[in-house]
Amino acid sequence: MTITVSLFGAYRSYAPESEFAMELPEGATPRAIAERLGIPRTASLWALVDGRRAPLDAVLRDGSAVSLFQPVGGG
Amino acid sequence: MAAYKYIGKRITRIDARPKVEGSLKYPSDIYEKGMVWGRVLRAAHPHARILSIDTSEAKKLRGVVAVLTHEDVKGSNRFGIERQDQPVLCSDRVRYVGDAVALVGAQTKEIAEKALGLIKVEYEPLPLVDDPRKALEKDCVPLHEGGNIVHELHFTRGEIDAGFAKADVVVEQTYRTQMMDHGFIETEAGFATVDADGLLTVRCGGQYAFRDVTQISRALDYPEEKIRVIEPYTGGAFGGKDEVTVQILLALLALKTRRPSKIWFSREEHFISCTHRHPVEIRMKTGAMRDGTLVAHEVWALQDGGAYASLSGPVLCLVVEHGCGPYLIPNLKVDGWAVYTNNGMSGAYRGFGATQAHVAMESQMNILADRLGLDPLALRAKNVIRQGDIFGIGQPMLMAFGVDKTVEKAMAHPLWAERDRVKAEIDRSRPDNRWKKRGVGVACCFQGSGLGKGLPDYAATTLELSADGAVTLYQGTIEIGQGSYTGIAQVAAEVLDVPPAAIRFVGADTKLTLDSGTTTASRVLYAAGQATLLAARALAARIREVAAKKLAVDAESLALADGAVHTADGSRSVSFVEIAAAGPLREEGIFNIPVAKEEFSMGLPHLVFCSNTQIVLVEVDTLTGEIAVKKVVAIPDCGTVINPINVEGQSEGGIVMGIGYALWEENVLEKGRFKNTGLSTYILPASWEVPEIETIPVEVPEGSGPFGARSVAEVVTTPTAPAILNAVADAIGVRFTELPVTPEKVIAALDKKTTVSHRDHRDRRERHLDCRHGSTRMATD
Repeated sequence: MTITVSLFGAYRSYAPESEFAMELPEGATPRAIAERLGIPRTASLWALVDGRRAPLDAVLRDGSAVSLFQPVGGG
Repeated sequence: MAAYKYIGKRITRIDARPKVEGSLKYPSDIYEKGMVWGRVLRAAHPHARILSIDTSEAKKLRGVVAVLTHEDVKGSNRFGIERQDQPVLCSDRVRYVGDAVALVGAQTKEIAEKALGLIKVEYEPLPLVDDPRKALEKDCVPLHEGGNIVHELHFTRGEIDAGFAKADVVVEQTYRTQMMDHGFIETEAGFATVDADGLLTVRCGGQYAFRDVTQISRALDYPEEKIRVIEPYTGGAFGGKDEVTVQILLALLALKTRRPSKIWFSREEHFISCTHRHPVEIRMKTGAMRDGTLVAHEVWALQDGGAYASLSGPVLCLVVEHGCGPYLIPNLKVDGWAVYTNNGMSGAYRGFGATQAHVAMESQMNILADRLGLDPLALRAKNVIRQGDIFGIGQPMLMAFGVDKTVEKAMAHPLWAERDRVKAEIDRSRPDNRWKKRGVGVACCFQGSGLGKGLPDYAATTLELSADGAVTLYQGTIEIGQGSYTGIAQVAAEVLDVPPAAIRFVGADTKLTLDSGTTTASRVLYAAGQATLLAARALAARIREVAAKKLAVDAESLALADGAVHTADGSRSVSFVEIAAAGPLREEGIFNIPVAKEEFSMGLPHLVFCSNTQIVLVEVDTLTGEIAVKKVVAIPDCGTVINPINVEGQSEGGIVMGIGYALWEENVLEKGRFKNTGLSTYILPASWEVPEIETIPVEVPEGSGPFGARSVAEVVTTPTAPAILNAVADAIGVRFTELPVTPEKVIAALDKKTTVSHRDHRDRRERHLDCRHGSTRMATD
């Protein structure tokens, strides 16, 4: 299945583009995307799936959009 | 504008009654039998190496349950929103007097307090960095690995030198703003429990429950799925509870003691340990042509972040983004630094850097107007950003924006249009008016809504038609006193046609509500409101579908009204109770704040903005130096007004906060130590100092917001201080560039200005002050 991946903040350096398509097997999760990109497994890794905050082990569907980011903040 | 039943109506807050009656429990109200009181040992020095910590005597004290140090923390022992550089409990070094060194849990607060005095900590003082300029120097002692610069930003746009060459008038000035306390009523408080399954529940005041879970988990190495944070109602925050305060300490105490644990910071502890508004030194050079057209602008900003990063970087981003005010300036150069020092801690504070930037920029505008012989508002009208403009550091203003309309409205207001008459209306026959001079000032501002480019900025609401036919709204943002739960309920009420007060509101609970982002950044009503609108539309559609089957009609023909669904002719209906009989209906609304295409830095730029123009009337007593704000007219541009009471409340509170910023409030530090740590010496505005306030919103609807609403939380406070500075300059001809403008500063400036001896005035002044204020109020001025 094809997933649109967006990387934010410090995670941008893990891919040439900040937004790209990734082919993944059925049952893949945001954590699998992070692992494939070499993003370390820390508590600072959060995921959005289709704009909604989701656990890293959420099962993705074909066509989903996944954002990986750190829970920082701003104003 | 469409006719609405609940939108735009003066609806009483849904939480007003329980708050007034005292039945609503704030975090500090929670007590339980057998609980442990937690107290924190703070650092004895602003910068020192810890040589040893001896807790043996404290542990022996009867009634002490636990004495914890860094050795008891199993995780990273670090926290911080942007970077985790602040220790939960210090191990080898302290960097400010608020650093936590040990945590005591005891049967009573008094025993815990006594135990703190029995802990022996041996320190070796280290060189003090108490000046941000010193922190920038290459040979300055580094407070953190990597040096003392937390963040720096440099932008240029256009041709700065060519721009200044075009200018007929150039104004160059340095401004200094002070460290300021948030001044919320409820100091940092919370309560934690751990159940038999290890579920840690923390009820506390905060601004982002979901991020607090991560911060607790990271610092203590405790699994996120075993942490629940509940923080729906917080007794004031203004950015001061965005960073972690009591959360990790509470969690640590509860996990170690396995007993209900309570921590409630004293006012003094709050002053020394928590974040404040950043002191910023801002140098500005602004060039304009003879007709008032702004052509070049240069900004140099140095922000004192204190001991740890917290949100110093993002705050600097907003100093930079708002450094040229809501004006079109084609040639721009901005340089900004945020640095570490041993001066307490600074972080998020309503306005978030835009406030400091506008103090400088709005003063520049009035100085320019004076030099050019132009009306200050006419100068602004000539230069304000309009929708479609490319502005600031180079982003387009694509969304609804009405600062031009706020300026137009201000120009027509009698306080401005007839200001000479208003200034003359002072009764000289009254002896206490003899030395008073009146002035009228104005200032504009703008402020981004949301977190800006480069950060996911999402909101989510769940709406449920429950089995009893009532509507339940689940929303993960926090009611910190701003009235957002009422505004959000009004949005749902309008779609579902149920009274807002009838909606059951479940707020900020990481096990019940969806993550809806931070309660910061002027984003809640806009983002969470829009998520609620989407959820409400989805739920209304589901309700119609179920009703259509029951009534055997087309769903599209049905109307929701008063807790039921009615056929078009009104002849038949089905109640919400009947609709939910087969089980509750639940729908989610997800909204992501639109972002700019361009990105200049993480969090920059914003796409959605609010604005505000304020006119201020002041009276300056040239005998005593006191400044009284007599009237403020506020003209905010926040899109559609969902609830006028809330907008007026925000406006009035923001103005009072701005008055305190301009005239009295300052966290005074000397060699890294706080000098004023109580409300008798840290001077907040009092009720008798609140002027007449008139709030006249300009409604420029934003299509992406709920019913056209944006937000209003921060722009309400930003223009007040510079408008006061401009009014004071109008009154006495003295331009102040350093906040707060205390009576001493006024008198010193007047003495410097006049060649006539003020000796007689001084004698009279002293007598006058003695009888009006007493010694306490003047202690820190």
